[in-house]
Amino acid sequence: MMKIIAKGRPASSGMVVGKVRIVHDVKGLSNVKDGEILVVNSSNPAWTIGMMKASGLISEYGGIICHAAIVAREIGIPCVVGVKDATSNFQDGQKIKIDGDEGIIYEE
Amino acid sequence: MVMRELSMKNDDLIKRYVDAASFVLYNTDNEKYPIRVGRIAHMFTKEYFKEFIDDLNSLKDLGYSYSMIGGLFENPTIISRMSHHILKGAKQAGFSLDEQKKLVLELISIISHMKQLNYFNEDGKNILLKDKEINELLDRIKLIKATNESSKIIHKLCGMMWAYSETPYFVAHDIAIEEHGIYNLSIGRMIIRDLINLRPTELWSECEDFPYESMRIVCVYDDKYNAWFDFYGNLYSKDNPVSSLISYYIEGDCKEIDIEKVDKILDISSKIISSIISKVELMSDKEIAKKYADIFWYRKRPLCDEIGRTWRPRKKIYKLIDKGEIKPEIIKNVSQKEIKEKIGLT
Repeated sequence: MMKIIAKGRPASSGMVVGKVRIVHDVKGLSNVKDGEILVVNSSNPAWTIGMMKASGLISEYGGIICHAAIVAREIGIPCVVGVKDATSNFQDGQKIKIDGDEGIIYEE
Repeated sequence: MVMRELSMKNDDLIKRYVDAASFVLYNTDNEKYPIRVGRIAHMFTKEYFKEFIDDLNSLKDLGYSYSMIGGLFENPTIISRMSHHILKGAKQAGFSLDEQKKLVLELISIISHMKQLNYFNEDGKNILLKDKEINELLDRIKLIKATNESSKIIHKLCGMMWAYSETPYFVAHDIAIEEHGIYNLSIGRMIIRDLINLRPTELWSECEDFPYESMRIVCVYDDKYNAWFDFYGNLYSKDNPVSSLISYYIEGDCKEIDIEKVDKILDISSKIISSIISKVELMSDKEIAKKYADIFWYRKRPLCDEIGRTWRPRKKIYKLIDKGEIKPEIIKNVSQKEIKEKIGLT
């Protein structure tokens, strides 16, 4: 049984396994590699280009119609929002699984 | 002037409006970009409401029907989303409960002329086109069969265009985007994303670099694709749109756009977004509030253009903002029931 490491509000459906990339500001988006799972505090439209490379998205703040949630649904990647302290509790390169339908994040 | 005869009683319409609006407002969070509108809009919503009513009455005096007034706006979601702020302004102006209800019924009547079927998207559909218009569209365009690769590109475009609509217009991105459907057709389930007002150079000069004034992205999904809209035109789905796409078509300024050109659109959109946001990050909260006022007044521009008035806010509005106080950031968990009570029409 997989270990649940965080929970939040499901914002865009689907499941994905990938490596975490924590991004604190727009400049950090240049470090995002294709297929990584983006972990952010919150986002604004300037982050969208970084979201294009991501396979999944976790945000500390926001609800189901925040920028991150809507863009994730448009581009078709799983997204969980309202994940408290995500940018502190996850680490770059950590392998996780997002369940965007249930809002659960598992350790892989 | 006779309001369009509506099939439901007025109280029921008001209740449905409150239910639909409160759902969206409940799920709207304290997004920081660029500032939560609730912290600043109180400084000018009363004046905004007064001018909106004045514009509306001027057009009615000229013989404009609600249908004609609706026709001045390119999309109904602009009215849906504007209604919240207009109602706030009415309350600030001391409108009685009956007057507030009459105002909302007027706005619903305008919306009713811009949409087919359900005014509040209670069935999850945002239907704008009549059957004849759908047939004309499908006769005119040539849908392209989607592959997994092209579907990813199309949906990246959809995501980027949403972000692009948010950037120059902040919370009023209804000025630039209307997503509508789900049109259940023999060929699949169609969702149309209409992008308009994509070069608001009066607000942001860098928007001049965007290659189109308008765009349309037509997506036809398989019959299993389950998606729905709320009253404010936000799209939700439990299914993956990328794997569900059967065919698509894109156009800019009514001319077909080849999928090979999408990368360029993504690139230029991203540059304009970054440029605007870089400017916004250097603005004080009061400067952002003034920009918000410009955007609010830009939202009702179609009325002013028709009357022959300037659309821009008067100097008084900026003075009100200069003198006004920005509300502090308070993150409070408010229930949908509390939001309904705050809307206060029922």
